Amino acid sequence: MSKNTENNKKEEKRVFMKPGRNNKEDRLNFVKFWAEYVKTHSDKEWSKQQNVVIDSQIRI
Amino acid sequence: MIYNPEKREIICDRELSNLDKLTLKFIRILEKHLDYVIISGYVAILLGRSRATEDVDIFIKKIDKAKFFVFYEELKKEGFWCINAEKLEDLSSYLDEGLAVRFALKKRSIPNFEVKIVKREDEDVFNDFILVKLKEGILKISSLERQIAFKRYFLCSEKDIEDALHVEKIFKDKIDYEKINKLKRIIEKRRK
Repeated sequence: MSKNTENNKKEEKRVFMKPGRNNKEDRLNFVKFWAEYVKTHSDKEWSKQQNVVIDSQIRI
Repeated sequence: MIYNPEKREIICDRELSNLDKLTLKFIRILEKHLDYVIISGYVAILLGRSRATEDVDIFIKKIDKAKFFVFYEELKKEGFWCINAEKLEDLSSYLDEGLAVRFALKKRSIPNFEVKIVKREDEDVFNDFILVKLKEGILKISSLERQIAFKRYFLCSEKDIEDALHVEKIFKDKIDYEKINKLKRIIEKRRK
C-alpha cells in the first residue's frame, strides 16, 4: 500500500467527542477528543487545522 | 508523530504554523551562542494542542555578558527587538536577577520569546530533553514527563492542566509515570 493511500485511510477514521456537563468538563473533553484526532490522523492533516487557530493570531 | 524515548526524539511531519517558522528563526540564532531548552505552552502547541499563545518560554544556561552581547547584536540584525529594554546592561542585569527578557519581531510585541536563565533547581532540564525533528529544522524541548509534571502540579491553571492532558493523551503508551511521580514529589518538596 502506498504511503498516500495509508494516510488517506488514516484520515477516514471518525472520532467523537463526549459533551461535558459544564464548561470545564466540556473543555477537557475537547482536549481529549482533539488529542485522539491528532493520534489517529496524519501530522499534515491535524496541523493544517491547528494552524487556523495559531495563524489567526500571528502573521509574519 | 513518532516518539522514540530511547533516542529522545520526536519526528513530526506537521505543516509549520507561522509561530513554528518564527520559533525556528529565533532558535537558529540563539543556538549559535548558547544552549537552550524550550519549555511550557509552546511545547504542547508544537505537539498538536489546539490553542494559540503569545509567548514561547525558553530556558538558557548562564551566559557571560560578552557572549550575550554578540547574541543580542545578531538578534537585532535579524529583525528582533527586546521589549524590556534597549541597553545591553539593562537586559543583562534583568537576567542576572533571575528575570525573563522577551524578544519579538521589530514593531511587534506578540508573539515573543521569553528567555530566562535556568535556576539551579531546574538545571536538570538540560539533561532531560527531547529533540523534535521537523522537516525544516530541529527544536529542543524539555521531556514530556517534565512538561506534564510541571504543568499539572506546579503551574496548575486550567490552560496548564489541559496542556498536560494533551501531551499525556498523545504519548500515553510511552510516558514514564514513575518519572512524573518523582518530579511531582520534587515539586511538592519545593513548595513547602
